[in-house]
Amino acid sequence: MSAYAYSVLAIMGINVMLAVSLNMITGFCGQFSLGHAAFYGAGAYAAAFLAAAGSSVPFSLLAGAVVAGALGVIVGFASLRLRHDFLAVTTIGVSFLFVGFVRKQPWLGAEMGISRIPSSGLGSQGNALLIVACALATIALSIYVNRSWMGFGFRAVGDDEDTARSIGISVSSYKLVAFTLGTAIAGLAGGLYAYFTQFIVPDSFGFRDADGDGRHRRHGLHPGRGRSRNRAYAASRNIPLYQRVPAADLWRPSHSRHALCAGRARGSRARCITQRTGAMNWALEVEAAAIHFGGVQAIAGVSFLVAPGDMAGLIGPNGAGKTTLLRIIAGVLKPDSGRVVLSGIDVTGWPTARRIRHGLALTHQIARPFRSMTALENVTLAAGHRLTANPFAALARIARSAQQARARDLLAKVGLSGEDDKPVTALPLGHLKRLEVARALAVDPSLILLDEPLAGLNHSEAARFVDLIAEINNGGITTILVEHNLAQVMRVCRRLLVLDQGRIIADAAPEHVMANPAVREAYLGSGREHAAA
Amino acid sequence: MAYYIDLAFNGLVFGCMYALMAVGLTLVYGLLRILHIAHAAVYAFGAYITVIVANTTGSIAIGMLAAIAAATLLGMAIYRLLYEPLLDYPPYVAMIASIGLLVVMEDGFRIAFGEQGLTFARNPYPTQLHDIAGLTANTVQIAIIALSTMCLVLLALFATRTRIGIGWRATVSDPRIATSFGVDAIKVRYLNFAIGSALAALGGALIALLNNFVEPTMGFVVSYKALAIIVLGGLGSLQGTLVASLALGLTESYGTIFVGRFLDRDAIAFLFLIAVLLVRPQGLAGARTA
Repeated sequence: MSAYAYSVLAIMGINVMLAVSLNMITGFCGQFSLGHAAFYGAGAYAAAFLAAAGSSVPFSLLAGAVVAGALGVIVGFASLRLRHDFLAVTTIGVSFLFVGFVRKQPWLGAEMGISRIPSSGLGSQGNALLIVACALATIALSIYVNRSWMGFGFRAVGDDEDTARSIGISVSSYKLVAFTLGTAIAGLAGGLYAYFTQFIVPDSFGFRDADGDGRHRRHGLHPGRGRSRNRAYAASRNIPLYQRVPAADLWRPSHSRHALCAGRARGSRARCITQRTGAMNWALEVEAAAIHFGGVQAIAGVSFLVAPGDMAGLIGPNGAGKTTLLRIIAGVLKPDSGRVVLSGIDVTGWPTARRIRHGLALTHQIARPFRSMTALENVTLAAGHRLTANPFAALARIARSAQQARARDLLAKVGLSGEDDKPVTALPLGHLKRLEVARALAVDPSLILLDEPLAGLNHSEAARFVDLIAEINNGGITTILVEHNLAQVMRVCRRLLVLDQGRIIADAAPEHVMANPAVREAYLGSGREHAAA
Repeated sequence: MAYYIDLAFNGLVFGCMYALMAVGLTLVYGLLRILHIAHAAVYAFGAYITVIVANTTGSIAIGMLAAIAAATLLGMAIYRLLYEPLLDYPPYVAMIASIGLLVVMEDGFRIAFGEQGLTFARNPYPTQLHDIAGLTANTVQIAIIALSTMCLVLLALFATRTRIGIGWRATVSDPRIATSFGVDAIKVRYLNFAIGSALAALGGALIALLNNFVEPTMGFVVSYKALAIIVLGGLGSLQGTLVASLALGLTESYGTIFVGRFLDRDAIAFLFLIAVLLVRPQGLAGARTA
């Protein structure tokens, strides 16, 4: 092959590395990043600078990847705070910032760039082969990541961050990992480019030159979201019966709770021990929780206790603060004051994902499945919540059969057997609601929060759904049900908490609550108005 | 001291320029949620038309009017031919198409009018200096401040005092509800692109006069800077966009003096953007969402 052919091969390899690494950020994890050229440039400059200073080829390349990855962590942190389009423009800014910075650095050759990069000693053929090898390794890594539980977690984050949190996935760690991994590979590509050309200038890494032709981006933002290979596991359908979780265990999460408790952070061990030695522990304690939005005191000092295994209905007129209270318990909102204690452990400052890992589960008022997945994948991912809790641990795991078996059982339990392989976008609302419940159960909760699960269901659907909820509760899972459909709530709840204007105005058995004048007034207005109507 | 006032004035001139560009972007973003990067091509187009028509007819005023008229049509054509077919796709598809159009138009200018750019045959304005209370300014700088202020005031009056303007704002804030009140959302989109493009062309024409020069790539950096501005302003907020335009103009003006040794002008602009966003992720005027 001619030297020219090798140089074409080398450029192709570098482009492949850039595209595949960008795809990890945008395609897998759904983070819009347009500043990939800056990381490529950072890697090239770091490697070129060290190479010119006399360091060895592997060290320079590694340093390029590390520098770019470090920069990627910084941008990753920014991505945690910024919404979609804000992030896109910020990442464009990063590439302008990079070029504008190196252009003014005399020690990096300023406008003239670095031209005294020593040869890698491999010759044009060796260089090209090294680049191709790195490109192939990148592709292999990308395929592996996509098949691993980490890739599964990335898809969840890219699909719906809130839902990902609700199955215990730490969205921020996944985003940071995606940025670090993607940018480090871009940095490696930059270092290879520096050795390949032995001459770099700032403009090689501008927004325009690396992205303007749209080549990388077209790869990166492929509408298929680069998961065609993800179907491979779908072949593993026939799971032997003995691998399935015994049905009786489905509703008995206590053993896993204890396991979790034992493995929990050292600081909370003392509390775990009291729990196991039989001291009374409430499933949920809310103490004087309060939050305001602007001038509205949405929750004004709410306290209540829920015993393990209880089934409590949380009702109240529109705007009473029910959903706000649930969101405080779930950790979506941080209360201005007050505490939330789950199974004896104060979780007030914890993010949602961590509370999930501590035995909480929740369903959203409006069903929010992972839209790119099938029903089975939705539940499988939740069933693997221990694997996905840590992205690096997730990277080491590929097998899904145990979680799939569990997911199938749960889908059957909520009445969705036969819908396993349907994309969730094809499911009707009633089924999506059931899917929410299956997904919530898959995280082995001890306490489940259901936010208006009956909304939008017709009478018979609602009745069946409430039966399902009662069955779940009978299995030992403490249940808190926020619901407007009073007839159904009265039928199953053993206890009703009535919220009005951010306060609890009644807390008793359903028949007592309904006889309470304060409750009647909150629901129906004052007696006089009622008479007039 | 006079030096710092000069810098402030310079920053103000650039801020007004940025505002003319960024208003159009904000309008498009507010209505269609598209980052309209090809807006910079409209700006360059306006500059080219100004130079060419001015050199043909001998009148810069006719050149500018022609540029505004042509750019208005171009803006509407971009909506009809580029964005409308892509509205059903995720927004980044339209954005990438937009980048594509910018690149194509840049190369179009290069092919049609040459790599070297064009200059006015006769343009006395940048060298006419005026002394205003100790401040030295040329005619074009004064015109930039005066015309952009005038256009933005007219735009504000149009948006708040006329029926069409109110329907337009209603559509920007909620297209579906506005439609149910009888506003023709499609016409509003054309109006949006027409107004935004006319302002961009005016900006292009004024910059052409200021530099006495137009070149194929003149829109490139401005386009991304205008994006930075609308993001700074909180995406979709006109007031925020104006504040951000002036803030960026001033930051660049002072920044090149104080940190110009470490960063170039564009890098300073984006560093400012990133710094502000880290403190206020929702932009200067964006509402904090619960």
